[in-house]
Amino acid sequence: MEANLVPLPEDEELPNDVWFEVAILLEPQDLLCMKLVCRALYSIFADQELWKYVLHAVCRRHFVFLPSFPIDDMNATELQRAALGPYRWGKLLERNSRHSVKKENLALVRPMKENDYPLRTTRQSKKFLVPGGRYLVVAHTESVDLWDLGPVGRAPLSPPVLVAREELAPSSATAFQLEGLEVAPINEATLRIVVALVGSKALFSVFDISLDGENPSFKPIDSLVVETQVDDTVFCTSLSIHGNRLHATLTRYAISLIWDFKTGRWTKGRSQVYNSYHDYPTKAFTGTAVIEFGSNSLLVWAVPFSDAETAPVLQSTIYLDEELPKALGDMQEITYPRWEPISSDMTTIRLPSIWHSRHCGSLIFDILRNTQAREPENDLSCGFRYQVDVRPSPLNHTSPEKLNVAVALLATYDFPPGFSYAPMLCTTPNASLGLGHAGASMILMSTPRETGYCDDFIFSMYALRASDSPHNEDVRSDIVLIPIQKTLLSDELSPVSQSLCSASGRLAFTTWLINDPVAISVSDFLSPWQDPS
Amino acid sequence: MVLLLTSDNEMFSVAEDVIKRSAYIKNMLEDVGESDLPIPLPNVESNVLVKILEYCEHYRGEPLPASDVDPAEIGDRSLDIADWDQKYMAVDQEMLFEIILAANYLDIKSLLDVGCKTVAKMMKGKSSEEIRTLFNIANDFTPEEEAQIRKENAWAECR
Repeated sequence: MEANLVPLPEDEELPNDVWFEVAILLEPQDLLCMKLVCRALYSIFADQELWKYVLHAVCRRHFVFLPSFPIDDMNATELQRAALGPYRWGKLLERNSRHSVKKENLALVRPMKENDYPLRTTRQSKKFLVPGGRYLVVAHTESVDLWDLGPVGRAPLSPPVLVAREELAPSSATAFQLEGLEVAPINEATLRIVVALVGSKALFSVFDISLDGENPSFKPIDSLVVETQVDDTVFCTSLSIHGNRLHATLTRYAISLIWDFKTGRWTKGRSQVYNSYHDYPTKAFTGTAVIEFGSNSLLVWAVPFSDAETAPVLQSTIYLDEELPKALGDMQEITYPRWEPISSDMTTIRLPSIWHSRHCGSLIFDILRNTQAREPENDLSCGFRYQVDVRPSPLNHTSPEKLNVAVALLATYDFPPGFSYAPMLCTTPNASLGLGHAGASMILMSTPRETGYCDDFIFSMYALRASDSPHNEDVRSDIVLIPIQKTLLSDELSPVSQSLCSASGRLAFTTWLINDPVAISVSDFLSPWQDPS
Repeated sequence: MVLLLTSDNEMFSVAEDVIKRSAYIKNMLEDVGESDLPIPLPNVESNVLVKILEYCEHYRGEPLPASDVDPAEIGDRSLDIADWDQKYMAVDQEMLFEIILAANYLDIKSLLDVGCKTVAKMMKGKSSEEIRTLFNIANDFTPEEEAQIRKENAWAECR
């Protein structure tokens, strides 16, 4: 090595764009060290354009919605600090991971700043905090709104700014209930939003909104009404969108509706899984496959129509319980690679938002199992994190009916004893979990097992963090749980709560008093990236 | 066959399907058409071109990378390097940077990627002092300047 030491970089003069490519291969914190090496490297690695490029890459890697940052309006130090956001969030969790997670000792990570926003919201409304923390989508039966809370890291907008509002069908307020809201990015600056309203029939509305121009507005893409039989109860669960396709589970028969709103075709298929704990099995949608989660196995269905086929005739009215055998294609059944035998349990499957799985191709999901023992301290609650990859067979790209499926157990984790857990929402990824791309944080509502009426409802948000010993053979120790927020609900508070969470250290959630208007609380866990000077 | 003339005036005769891995040459051949005139490479020395041709020869017959990059792929920052590429890149630092410069000039994207990954691997997780030792760089900051940058970095990293 010493024979050919080269003074760098003056003599070599690698073009800036080559350094840009090197920079995005490194961690942002490595780039800070490069600034300290010498003047020449400082001029390269303190450069505003380089850090813009790095922040772009960080957003892509962590699935952060790019318009969350006013990149063109940020100086080099702001860009550096913003690019280090996931790293700072990870460090914050790391510093707190030493806390033991016991019932009597729920050490919390405190937010640095908290705001309550009196946005119009009701029990019926649904919210989605777009990863990046700046944009909040709120859906009601009458409208869908996009709010700008202000970029994470700058002084908050107070009150938030209504960016756009789209009125839904005028009759919807009385005839429909809001059942679903799903948000996914379709490119770096555009969100695709689907709202599901359910009454005597189900109404799906799809909108796009681009945030790279002036005066963003909702652009209706399409809508679909699916009628139902009068005596059948309509539900809508497992709503997801993937590119130009939508999936929803409808009615007590857990029928899968798949709608390709680009070609105007749709199809339905009856569920094969009947989970005794869930009348409506959780399903995931990858665009070419529907994955059903059973109690100990998952089923993967190929979505039947491809572009090569002639379009089925779009029917305006089809009864939902009408049997459509073979509406979905070939089925593959996979048994989970590891399934802990637990008696007397309750299983909950939580999928991270399609926001992540759409990008990385892998679907990461958590299965929580609660065992209720006679003695609360003997309770067992654990989570299993799996990754499933469903891809069209390489030999058969044109027809998605042949699929390759791979399932891997990423990690397991234990919860403190004495509580029942219900996952509320998985969050966007952050840098701290090396095991997978998606969903490094999780929100849980926990209630004590031992009583039916108690003022000790605990609403906790947990962060999942890979432990320091990744090569530990006991995979169970791979993840530690870090409680980062808790809400103790008293008699006046309803235990029902909705919550949202995002990367960039910002969480948004609602809890509310019975009969009281609701405010949306926003907590920032990282200090501003704006230069204090 | 394609004739290439290096900066030190050496002439190389290369099979067209070998050198077409260079998008620069490929485009030039498509624009100019068949020609007996050598293509001058004023930025590439013969010892570097030998090395570049070794790479192109090895990957002869492999499909050329698509010109449009899938946006989803940009997020991939794995520093995994294929075994052969690793051995190929096991050169002194001067040659490593010459290869990167030539790959950039000749627009051989896969080679540029491997070069960038090799450099990134050398730098990853290193302190500024370790970087100075690795590349034999002198610290030319005044103590005040260094303190100022450290302060800036500390602020960027803190919660």
